[in-house]
Amino acid sequence: MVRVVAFKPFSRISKTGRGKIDSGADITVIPIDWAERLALLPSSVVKVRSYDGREEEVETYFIRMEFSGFQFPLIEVLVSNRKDVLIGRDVLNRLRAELDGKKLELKLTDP
Amino acid sequence: MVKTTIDIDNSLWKKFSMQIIRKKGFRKKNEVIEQLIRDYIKSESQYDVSKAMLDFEEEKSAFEKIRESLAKDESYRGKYVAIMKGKVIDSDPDKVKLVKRIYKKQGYVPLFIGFVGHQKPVEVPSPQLLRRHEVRHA
Repeated sequence: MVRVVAFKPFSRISKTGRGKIDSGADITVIPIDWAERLALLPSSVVKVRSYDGREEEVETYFIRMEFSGFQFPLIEVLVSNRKDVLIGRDVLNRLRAELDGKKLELKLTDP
Repeated sequence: MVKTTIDIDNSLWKKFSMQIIRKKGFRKKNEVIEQLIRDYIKSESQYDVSKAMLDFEEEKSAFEKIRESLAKDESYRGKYVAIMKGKVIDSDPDKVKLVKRIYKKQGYVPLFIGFVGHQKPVEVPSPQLLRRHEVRHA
């Protein structure tokens, strides 16, 4: 779990909450209440293949995001009816992630 | 008019009071607080989910109408195009660069970014993924 801060683009309006690393997701997902709190506007669509193989077109939003000291000025995200953020590979691929399963530790660095 | 009391951090209140005295003179705190409340209410009520979705769907539908003709144009094929008020206003092979450029130029406004060509689906194994309107109507 990491503490994530999401901002409305080019604004100081922000929402803070918990985020989970999800290396299985191609794209980052934020809770729907965050999109409403930040007054985000849908900007695009992506076709999403979900866990059951179903494909559907889903709206995407753009946010600025910060977590663990890393800043991402503008990223495209999906919204979902969930409580925490799922940090997907679109963000993780910009970092180095080292998982020590035995120690239950995940180290994120930006080499 | 109503009288009310609030608990507020002491140093925050002192800083606020000093700024008001410096900028506006004495006895102007009420005016400033009232204006802050008005601005807050205005900014909160400006966001209407239905309106945001409606604007988005209109721009998206404008894109769908011209998608085929855009695909025949080499200057757009394989690129993202930005649709605003029913018209293509910019394009770029990089979606994020395009969005950043438009938000900087136009502000945070309703638009639709569409891709001219075929795109592979993204994988999101979370079982909780729902479209926004499905959440609203659930």
